[in-house]
Parts: sequence; C-alpha cells; structure tokens
Amino acid sequence: MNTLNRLFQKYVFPHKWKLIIVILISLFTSLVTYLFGFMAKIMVDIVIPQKNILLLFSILGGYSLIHFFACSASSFNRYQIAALGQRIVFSLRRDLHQKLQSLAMRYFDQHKVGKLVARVMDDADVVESIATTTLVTIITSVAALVVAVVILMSLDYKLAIIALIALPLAAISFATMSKRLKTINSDIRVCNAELYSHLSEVIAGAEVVKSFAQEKKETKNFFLRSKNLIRLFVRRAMISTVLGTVSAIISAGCTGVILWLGVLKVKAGWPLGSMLWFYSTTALLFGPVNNLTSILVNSQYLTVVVKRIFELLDEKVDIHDSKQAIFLEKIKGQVTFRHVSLKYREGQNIGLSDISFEIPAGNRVSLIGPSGSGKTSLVSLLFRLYDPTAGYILIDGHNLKDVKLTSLRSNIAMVSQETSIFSGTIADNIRYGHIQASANEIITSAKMAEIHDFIMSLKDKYETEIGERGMSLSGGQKQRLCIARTLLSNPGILILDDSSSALDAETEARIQKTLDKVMKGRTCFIITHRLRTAMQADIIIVLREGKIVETGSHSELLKLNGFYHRIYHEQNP
Amino acid sequence: MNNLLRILQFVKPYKKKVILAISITIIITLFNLLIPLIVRYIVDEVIQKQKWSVFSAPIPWPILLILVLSILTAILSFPNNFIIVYLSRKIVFDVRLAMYKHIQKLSLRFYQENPMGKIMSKVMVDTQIVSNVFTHNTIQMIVDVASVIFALGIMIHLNWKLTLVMVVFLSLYILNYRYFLPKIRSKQSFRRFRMDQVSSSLVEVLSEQKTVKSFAQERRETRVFTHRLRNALDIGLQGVGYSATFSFFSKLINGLGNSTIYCLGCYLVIKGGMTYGDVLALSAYAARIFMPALRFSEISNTMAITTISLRRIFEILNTPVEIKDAPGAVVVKKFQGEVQFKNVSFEYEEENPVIKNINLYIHAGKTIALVGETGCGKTTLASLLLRFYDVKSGSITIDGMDIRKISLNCLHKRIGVVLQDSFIFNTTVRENISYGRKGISDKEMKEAAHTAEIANFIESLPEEYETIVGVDGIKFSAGEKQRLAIARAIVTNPDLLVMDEATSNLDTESERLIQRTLEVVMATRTSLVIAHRLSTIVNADLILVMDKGRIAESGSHKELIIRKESIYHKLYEQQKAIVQAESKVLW
Repeated sequence: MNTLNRLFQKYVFPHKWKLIIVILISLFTSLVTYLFGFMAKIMVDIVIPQKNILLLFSILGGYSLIHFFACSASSFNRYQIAALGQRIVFSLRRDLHQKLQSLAMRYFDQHKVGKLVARVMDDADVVESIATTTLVTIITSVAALVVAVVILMSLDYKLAIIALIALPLAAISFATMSKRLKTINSDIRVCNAELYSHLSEVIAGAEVVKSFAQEKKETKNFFLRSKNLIRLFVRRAMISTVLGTVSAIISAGCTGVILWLGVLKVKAGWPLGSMLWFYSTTALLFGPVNNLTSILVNSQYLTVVVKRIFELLDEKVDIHDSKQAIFLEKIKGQVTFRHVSLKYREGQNIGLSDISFEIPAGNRVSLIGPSGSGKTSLVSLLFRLYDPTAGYILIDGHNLKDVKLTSLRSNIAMVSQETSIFSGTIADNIRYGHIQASANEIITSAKMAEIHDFIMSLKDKYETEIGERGMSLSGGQKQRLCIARTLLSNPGILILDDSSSALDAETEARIQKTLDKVMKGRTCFIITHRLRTAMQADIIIVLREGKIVETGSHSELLKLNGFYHRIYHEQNP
Repeated sequence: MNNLLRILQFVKPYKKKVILAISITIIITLFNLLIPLIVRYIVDEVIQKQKWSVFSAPIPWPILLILVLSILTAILSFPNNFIIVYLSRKIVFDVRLAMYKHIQKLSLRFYQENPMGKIMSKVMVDTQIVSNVFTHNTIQMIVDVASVIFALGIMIHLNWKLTLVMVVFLSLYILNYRYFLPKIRSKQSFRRFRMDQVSSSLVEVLSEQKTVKSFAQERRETRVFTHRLRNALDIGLQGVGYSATFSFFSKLINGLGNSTIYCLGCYLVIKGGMTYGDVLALSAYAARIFMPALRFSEISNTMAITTISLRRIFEILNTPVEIKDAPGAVVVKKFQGEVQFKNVSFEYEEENPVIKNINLYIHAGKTIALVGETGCGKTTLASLLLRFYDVKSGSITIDGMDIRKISLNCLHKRIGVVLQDSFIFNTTVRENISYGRKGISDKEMKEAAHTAEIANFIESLPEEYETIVGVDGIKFSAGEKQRLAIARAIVTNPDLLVMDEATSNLDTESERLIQRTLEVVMATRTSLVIAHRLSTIVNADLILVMDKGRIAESGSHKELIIRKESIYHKLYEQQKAIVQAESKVLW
C-alpha cells in the first residue's frame, strides 16, 4: 500500500482540486441512482391512491430534470477521470524516460532493453486504466454504500441489519484470497517482462535465428514462456471467479429474504411503496460492494505494477552533476589519470586497475594492447559513461566529477567500433548532437567523412530516411555517417576507436587523411592495432590486462628495452 | 468488421466451450426474465388482492422460486465466468503464437521495413486488446438478441402503447450511436498510431544509449519523447471527449425512457386498465431492453479499439511469406558444395538494382573471396545464397539444385554463417556456441572455441562456458563477439561456409591466428569469404572483385595482381601502401 501511497502523493495529488470536484459529482450521481426507488415509493403510496395526476407529471418533470443534470455531471466526470488518467500516465512516462536517460551505462549493461520498454509502455498503461478509476470507485462506492445504509436504516432498522449482514461475509471471502492474488499478480508481471525481452532479442537477432535455422526452437521457447503466463492468468481468473460467485450467492439470498420479510411486514401494515423502495435499494446495495471487491483485486495488481515503476524511478543515479559542477565552454584537452581503477561488476577482475598518466593539451595519445586489455574502458571513463571505482580523472585541471556532464560530453567525441544509426533522415543522423547545425555544416562534415557523394546519389539526398538500426546501409556507410556526425561536433578531445575497421582500403586511406587533419590541435586518443599509427603519437600507452605496462614516446619506449621494444623488433627484424 | 470475422477462426477450436458459455448465459437470462413476473405476482395477487395465504407457508413458494432462481444463477455463472476469462486469455495466447510463428517465416525485408518497437507492440499490446472479443458483454450480446425479443413480447402483451413509447426512445438511442461511433473510432486509431511511434522511438533510444550519452543528448531525447507523448495525449483526450458526450446522450435517453414509461404506467393505473404489478414488470422489462442497448454501445466502444488492434494484427498475419519452401522442397542431407549463380539480379527497392546480372561458378570445396569497395553488393550476394532474399531474376544453384527448391531449414542448417555485426544472444557462452546445434558435447564446443581462438579468453572467466554474455553478465568486446560467432558457425560442421568480414573487428595478430585454423576448416568445404583486408584472402582459390553490383574481375591472387590496370591491383597497392606505412601491425 505504501507504493500506492507514493503514486497518489506524487502523481495524483497535484490534480487534487479536479479530483475533489470529480468525487463530489460522483456523490451526487450516486445519490440519483436511488432516486428512482424513491419516486416509485411516492407513486405507490401517494400518487396512485390519491389519483393525483398533476403530482404524477410534476414528479416525472422533476425527475427528468434531475436526471438531465446527473447525466451531464457523470459525462463531465467520465471525461475528467479519463483525462486525469492519461495525464498521470503522461507524467509517469516522462519521468521514467528522464530517469532512464540519467542513468549510467552500467545500468544499460545490466538491464535488457525489452524489459525497460515494458516498464515505460505497458506498466504505465496499467496505471492509466486502474489508478484513477480505483480512486474514484473507492470513494463513490463507499459513498453509495453509506447513502444506501442510511436509506435502509431510516426505512426499517431491523430489516436493514439483516440486509447488511451480507457485507462482512463478502469482506471475509476477499481477505482469504488476498494473499494468493498478490503473489500471482507479481508473477504475471515478471512473466510478461520476460516475454517482452525474449521477443526483442529474437527480433533484433532475426538474421542469426534464420541463418541457423532456429525458427522452430525459438517458437517453442516463446510458446513455453507464454504458456506460463496464461497459466497464471487462469489461476487468477479462478480466484476472482470464486470470489464473484460467493458474493453473488450472498446477494441473491439476501435480496430474496428481504422480499419475503418485506411482504410479511406489508401484511402487518407497512406501506407497499416503502417495501418496494427497501427491496430495490437492497438490490442496489451489492453493486458498490462488488465494485469494491473487484477494485481490491485490481489494486493488488496496481500495487505490483507501481512498485516496479518506482523501482526504476528510485534507481540511484550514480553519474550526475554535482552541486558545484562547473560548465566548461571549451575544453583545452589536458588529461590526467590518478590511480584510476574500474570494475564493471563486483568480484570481477575485468576493467582497469591503478592507471596513472598525464597528457598535455593537444597531444596525440595512442592506446595499444591486445583485445580486452582495457583500451575501450579507459576512454569510456573519459566520457563518464562509467565512474572510476577508485582514483580520479582531471580534465584541464578539473575533476571530471566537478564538470557538468553536458559540457564534458559535448567537448569529447568518439568514432567507435560499433556504429549507431537512428531512424530518421541522413541529415538528422549527422546533426545528432548539434541539432542547430546548418545545412552547410552538415554537408561539409559529410564531405570530410567521404560520404557526401554517396548521399547525393540517393533519390532524397540528405532527406533519405534510414531504417531502425540502419539496416539498409552497408557497414562502411554507417561508419562514415558516424564519422561525419563526430566531425560536426568540433570536439576538444577526439577519440578514435579502431575507427576504420569496416572500410575498404581506398576509403580508409582517404578517411585517414581527413582524420589526420581533424586531429591537429586537439588532444586525441587513438585506440589502434597498427604500429605505424601508434608510433606517430606523442605518447604511447601500452595496456595489458587492465594495467599500464609501459608509457612514453616511441623512442623512449624503445630505449626501455621492454615489452614495446620486443614487439617492435619482432615486427621489424 | 471483416477482421472481426477473421478473428473468429481463432475461436473455432473452442467451439464447444463457447456453446456451453452461450447456453449457460441463455439459462441465466431466462431465470432473470422470470423474476419480474414473480414480483408482479406478489404485488398484484398477494399484496393488493390480500391473498396472504400464500405467505403463511414456512417458506412461501414465490420467495422460494426467487431464491432458487437467483442462487442457481450465481452458481451457473461460475463455470460461465471461468470459461469466458479462460477463453479471452487463450485467444491472446493463440493469436500471439500465430503472429510469432508468422514473423519467424518472414524474410529480412520485413525486419528492415518494420522497426522493432512496432513489431513488439503489435505482438504484445494489440493481442492483449483482442481479449476484448471474449468478455461477458460479448457473450451476453448474443443472448441479448433472444432476451430482447422475449422481453418485447411480454411488454406488448402487458401494454402495447407503452411498448411503442419505448421503441421511440430506442431509435433515438440508435441515432446517437450512429453519429458518435465513427468519430470515436477514428480518434482511437490515430492515437494507437501515435503511441506506436512513441514506443518504437523508445526502443531505439534505449538501444543506442551509448551514443545518446556520448553526444549529451539525454535532455533532448526526453524532450522529443515528451513531445510525441503529448501529441498522443491530445488525440486521446479528443477521443475521450467524444465518448463522454456519447455516453451523456445514451444515459440521458436511457434514464428518460425508463422514467417516462414508469410514470405513464402509473398514469394508466390511476386511469384504470393496468395494475401496479404490471407497471413494475413493464419497467423491469423496459430496463432489460435498454440494458442491452447500453451494453451494445459499450461493446462497440471497446470493439472500436479492438478492430484497430485486429487490423494491426492482420497486417502482420497478412504479410505474405516471401520466402518459403516450395511444394515438395528437397531435403538435402549433405551438399557437395558446387555453387552456381546464373544471371542473378536483385534489388531492395524498385529501379535500384544492387546486384546486376551476376554469373558465377564455384567448384565444390573451393574457397572464393569477394572483395570490392564498401556498398558494392558483397553482403547482398551472400544474403542471396542464404535465401534471406529471393533473386529478382536468374537463379542460384547448389549441386545443380535451385536453392528455391531446397528446404529452407536444411539450406540454413548446411550453410554455416558468420555475419557482419554478429548478434550474440544474451545467454551463456555455451548456449551461444551451441545455438545451431543443440546438445553438442563439451569436447566439440571447446574445439570450436579453440578454432575461433576464444577458448583461452572464455576459460579465463570465472564461470567459463557458463558465463552470461551481455546484459546481466560480462560485456564482450566486438572482437570477442566475432570470435564467438565464428565458433558458433563452425560447430555446426556445415558443408558451405559464408563469412562476411568475420574477422574485421579483430586485431591483426588474432586475425592471423584465426586465419591459420580457419584455413583448415575451409579446406574441406566450399567457402565464400567477404573481406576488406586483402591479406586474409590471398590464398583463396578464386577472388572476385565486385564493382557496383557486377563482377568486374575474377581470378586467383597471382592472376589478378599481374594485371597492372586491374581494380584488384589498385586495391592491393593501396592496401599495401597503408599496410606498409603502418605495416608493422602490433597485435
């Protein structure tokens, strides 16, 4: 209940005035429900015996008028409730998105995209359909119950007690089922999220599934998972059906008994109208009771869903701007690492350990080392995609943690191993990161990345739509597009990560030249496998298993007569 | 409506259950229709005519009848409710499975044209909505037709004039319905469309999170998301506005109808000609006719949403399966590996050919290399051999058999593939390696890992082959993923091997190591290798140089390299220049 409380505090209460109006109106409309019974009582006890036709039609007129208002009010309410629900979900989704965007890469390494999407889209949807109706139904049902009890009591308190005996019975039957429902509901959500992530993987890996002819196996997988889900749903259905049946039997018995006793009282002189009013009100009594039970079932579900949503919203943002963070307009590019270590996960020895070095602004640094030696991790730290688990990093003398993330990241650019293309036009993709770039700037950077000619050969040129995951572009084209994107941002620190691996020799040579031009005057980190590229750098850092083995210029390293020296001479006998 | 009928084919297997549910509902409805007649009897015959003798029994029979009828109703509802809930879930399950199976059959073209988020929302969200087809309301609606006729009959018998009044109100009701429904429906369909955009953009932003962060675009992405969401919200609210107005009129008509009939009834009681019990029964039946009408409008509201979802579901189910087994497709146990491309042309989009009239013959067991500039059609050519797409014209044969006549399953099983940007599943290393061949022995798995030069890395991990790759596990570098993909391909012991830049993400040292072991693997089978580093393919039996969708040159390395004017020569010299300039490749 605590989580529900938070949901209401944060998302529902800002609309509390609207909510109060909605509740007041609901009270009014639920009163009107009992009016018909009252009208019938007057007819039977007064109008018909007195044959008062004038009164009859004025009652009809009066009732119609009230009914008209009640209808307008309830439609107004219906709109307000639905609008409220949609607005709440809107804010919820916005916050979830914002939260996700503020979380560090570590979070995305540990959570599947499919599951996150399920949370933002599906779970939020559940909140929309349940949250507002829950609140409104609880309040109106309670109000309706109170009104009904008052009417019954005022008509005949002895009969009323008999009618009301049924209520605690319904409550007891619900309480016994409550716990079981709770576990089933939470299982359902887990199962659903799993189904989502299975599906997202199979769609993303469609090519692999097909090329290994695994369609049948994947279908079986899907079958088993969704079968599990349906089993849970059926169990839940069983419980709620049992609940419904019990409450229906109670209400049926109760209404019948009331009619019976009512008739006997009429025999003893009770006005027929009163008896009929009592009878119809008893029948109406069970509507709110049933509503309340089903709301309680639903709110169990809602609790589970809301809990999952808040789990995400409560996720600690481990990388964020500190209070005194400063905004750096332009980074010169002096970089210092002091005893920096990085562990991706507890107990795992992968990442970096005790890295220290200092790079003056404008220098070119090459990072060399076998695959998995920590080169990519090292540059991820520069971006603050991760925070070091120990030690610290300075840029232009400022601790990275004291620099505003936006200013840091817009001053560092990377051309990486893995290309990323967003659905949208080619121009959108190039100007990603600098949305305000002019058409000229876009074309210039495309030309520098050697992709302008290709773009111009397309029918829609820069306005060509490229699909999700950029599937309709070749690997090389994607890479060049990403290079163009990076060039556009004119960064103070440039990181090249095996940037030309998917390109053919000719393009590679051409791009290499432009990259050489771009690198001038900036601090550059080059992750490379080529000795020649490495040699040209001012500082070479040799990494192995997350540690710095040697560091220095080419000639210094040769003099060391160590690791680098050995490699160099193995290659240059 | 058409789609609504089509969804019924999913109901067919449950015919018996549906019939049972309908019969129970009919019985319940009949019971309920009897109760007003009993109440009328009590009011008119017992109370007003003062025949108290009926109530002197220990349990008077009218009360007993009411009690029995209503308790029976409650008990009968139990199986009924259960069947309904069960079926509504089962339908979701069946439709989802059908969609999933169908998606698995569709060619890659489908995956290119449909963003992941869109497919997911159709499979997960729209199917959920289909459960609306099976609710108490829809089952009740079938029965309503019967109960309305029955109720109308009794009403006419009780008083035809009042029945006429009710018919007037009912027609107002229909007018209201006809006016608003199309409006509501169009808004809802538009909203679904917008929400689709929202969810697919969400999937994208989350999958490309690293880039989003590197370019410091988190705030803008949230802004864009919020903007899209607001668009959907606005349309949603317009839809809500319409349905609120609609429900205003329907409730108004309903309430006015009920009260008018009741008061006119009372008027007739005063004037003589009707008893009060008649009025009670009459208004109870009138309510029972209005109720189905109210229910009907409610159903059409949900059905409006449902038909939109159905349309979207059938969009997928109707997507023709472009690539499927021809009738009598041949199951091949083993390929010799002789491959021939005859006048093959192909285009992704009309009028934009990617492969132009390619002829190619590969002897069994030979290694063929494809080289050429980025975008010249190398990958497409490999995709055609794998039948990810069908050729536009011409034909591809393996061992003289058109691949369109070979069962897809064995085609894919017998051809091993390492693709560009290899997708690695988020599961254990073991499951990834054994992906194409379940239940391989540890020895086979380790051998494959050794061949792919990844065994040492895997065995250095604490959980070795049980390590989970990716989310919730260890992040593999691009090179490690590629090596895993190579292990995955060779463990299936294929007759043909297709490798599309399989080692592009490796450092040259690892590449050289793998090259040695791969050459052993390739020696015994036909292999198609796409490479950008020419050094890796100089030993190929045949090198094809592709240029703008054609084969420009072919021959062995030696043959091609002596022709000074050849593209290959040019490519080779360029690479040599770079390789020499930087030649001392480190790792």
